[in-house]
Amino acid sequence: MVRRFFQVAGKVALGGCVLVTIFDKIGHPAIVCGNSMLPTLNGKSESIFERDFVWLSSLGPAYKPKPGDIITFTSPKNADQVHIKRCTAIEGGVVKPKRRDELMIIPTGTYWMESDNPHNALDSHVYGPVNRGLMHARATHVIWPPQRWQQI
Amino acid sequence: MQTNSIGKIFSPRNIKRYLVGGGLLYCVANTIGTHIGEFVICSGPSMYPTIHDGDLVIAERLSVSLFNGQTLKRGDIVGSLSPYDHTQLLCKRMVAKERDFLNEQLLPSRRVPLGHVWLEGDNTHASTDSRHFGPVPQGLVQIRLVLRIWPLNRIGWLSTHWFWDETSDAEAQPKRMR
Repeated sequence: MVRRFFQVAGKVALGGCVLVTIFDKIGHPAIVCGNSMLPTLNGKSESIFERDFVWLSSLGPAYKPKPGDIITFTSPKNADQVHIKRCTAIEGGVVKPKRRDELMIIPTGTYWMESDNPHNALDSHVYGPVNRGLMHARATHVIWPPQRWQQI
Repeated sequence: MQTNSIGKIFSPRNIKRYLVGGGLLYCVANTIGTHIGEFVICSGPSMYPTIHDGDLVIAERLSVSLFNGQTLKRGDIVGSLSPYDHTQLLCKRMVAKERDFLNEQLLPSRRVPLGHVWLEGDNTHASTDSRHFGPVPQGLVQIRLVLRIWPLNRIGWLSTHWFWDETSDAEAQPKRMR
């Protein structure tokens, strides 16, 4: 009986490891929360089932984000939050933050992430450029609702 | 006889078993390495009296992967991705957390910004740290160094608490060592 328990526990642990590796290395689905990416991704509804589900494919260590990519990253202001934003300028580019009057060159290793929704303020205009090390995955497909099934 | 046994070892059925076993081993190693903890070989002089060049250290990720870094305390030795190059892991001491007061040129407000930490090497003269690149986002902190295991004559704990120990906000901010 005890032996059987350990056999089952070992198989469950192995399966968990395989699942975690697939989540980390290949990708996973996620629910969009909030209205910051509104024309592209819809997450403003209270009910989970009326929000968009996206497929996030993990970034390899060599991946360099390009302008136009939609990428998830840990917020530089709060390590508990994961944001999804569009990369609009890469390292070395010149941007004009809304809160400042002068132009700004994006430092090495960082990227400028902006919301698609112009009325949502919480993006690089508030917390500055985002480090590449904070980024996790790139949104490639909308997988739910079915009528909006599309590649991004 | 010999060809027969070699043929047995590399039979299609056995090759499939080796591939599946290797895949499972990779999955287990990857899960442990990215979520629980790993061995780190430290290189460079930046943490000199505490960690020498080439020391082997056990590092844990649970305080980051389970607690989002809430249980990291000031004075912990952490590994953080370099803000310039995300493939590099820097090993530094976390001197201050968000909202702490620090008298530094790179902090115009004299406080560490929200969600950021201040990292410094123990070897002040040979360390590239927050005094050069400013505060780093806490999301870049990946591991916490716990136990130095090699060389054997300097084996010992590098941290004084467990990863589940809560940090209290009342804990006083330590004085600068300099």
